[in-house]
Amino acid sequence: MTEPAVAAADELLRKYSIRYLVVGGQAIAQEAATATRDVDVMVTTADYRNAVERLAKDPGLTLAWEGGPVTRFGIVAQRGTPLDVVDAGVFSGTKTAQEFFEFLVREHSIHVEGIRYLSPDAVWYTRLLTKRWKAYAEKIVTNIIDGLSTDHLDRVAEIARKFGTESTIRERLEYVREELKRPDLQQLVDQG
Amino acid sequence: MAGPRHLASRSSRSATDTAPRTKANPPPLDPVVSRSGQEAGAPFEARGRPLRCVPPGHSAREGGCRGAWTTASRWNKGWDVWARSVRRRKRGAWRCDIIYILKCASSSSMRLESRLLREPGESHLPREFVGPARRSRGRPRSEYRPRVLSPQDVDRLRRHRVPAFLLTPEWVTNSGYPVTFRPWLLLPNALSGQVSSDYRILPVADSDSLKEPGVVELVTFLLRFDPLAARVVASRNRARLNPHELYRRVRNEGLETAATKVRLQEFAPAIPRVGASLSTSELRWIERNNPPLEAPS
Repeated sequence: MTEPAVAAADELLRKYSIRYLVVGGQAIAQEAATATRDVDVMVTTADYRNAVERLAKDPGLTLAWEGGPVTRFGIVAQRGTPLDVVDAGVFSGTKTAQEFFEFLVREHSIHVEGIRYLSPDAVWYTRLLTKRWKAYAEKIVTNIIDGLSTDHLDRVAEIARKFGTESTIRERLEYVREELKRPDLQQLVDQG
Repeated sequence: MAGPRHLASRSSRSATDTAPRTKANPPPLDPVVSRSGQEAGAPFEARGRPLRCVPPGHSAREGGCRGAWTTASRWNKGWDVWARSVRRRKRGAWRCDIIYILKCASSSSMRLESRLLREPGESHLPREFVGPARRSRGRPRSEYRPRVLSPQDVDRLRRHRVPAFLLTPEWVTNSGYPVTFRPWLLLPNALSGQVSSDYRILPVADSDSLKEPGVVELVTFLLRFDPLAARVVASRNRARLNPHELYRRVRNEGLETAATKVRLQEFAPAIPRVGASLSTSELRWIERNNPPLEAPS
């Protein structure tokens, strides 16, 4: 069942015909446990500015802050649950945001009840490219304990190779893999 | 070798515990073999010793145990033993035990094992709750392997004084960190292999923490599989967090590295720093990004 906050965000984004992908915790929630309440959506760089301007005028949203490639709104009908609009260009590496977005739609997303969600490997890829990647690495380990396969880590590396972010991602994936080698975690991962 | 004393104290029926067995006061599912020691005049704490000390992958003897199987007329508190008891029937009634003891040099490579046992009279447990029991020939007690498939089964185990606890996302959410995850069944290390369950099992070193877990224990459990959640719960329940208790629980579980990673020293300064920490800004951001649920209006 679609989360009420995701459904509310979908309604608003459809109203303005904004093409988007649900990313972050809500996308992970399709396959594993998550702690997130906010809704993160990714749009192409070409759409980003236009989307933010339109959404900022909607009475169903409050503008919380703008921070370059991410803008946060509060969904009024959902008691201010955050809606983060993210520019795909941040993660597209050596290719264009449009190419990256289309690649995700084509190869790393699933369609659930009319809403397109990013796959866990693509979510991990985006998370490991942010400046807070270490905190996200902890979340990735938690996702794996909760049953997500470590095979997703290999697919993260594949995405990085395709978009020229391999050198950054390699070191961060290594960090995650080292964490997973801890004997106390191994026991929990095996039960996942 | 430190035996799980608390198990005995929770499960053994003391001389003063003479209340009739009812639904509210069921006979214990002993997590340890206590009766043999009891009848042999064992001191209370000795009864809490585990039945077996088993070096992983080896028999006790191969793992450094010395001596030979021998009989003993009384429990020797000073020994770390691998013991087995055989009951003898005298004039139609079970009268006494002979305890066979293998003196055993304890070593750090040994792990403790316990068994859930029941007396012949203790058979009123629902059949669906009790898995395949192993019963040695001629032995009046048989081994339990409870099936834990629902929260009610966990409650039932707790009513029978087996330290078990179900860690649910609702508990974490109500503690200020909205989260979803598949529940974990928390069991003492020594019992974690003795229960059949569809729940994932989280073995706990300090089974005392399963008696009446509160926010300190919740933070400690979360450190095992979601340190960020542990940090946020600690932060949002700071007023209820006893730093000494938190220190004790973290030390008992050996979670200093995980605690350092999410800077739990801010809540319990005595926790030793082991390994690297996430930056304060990252931790603050995690807290900001997942606000607690508002109370329903």
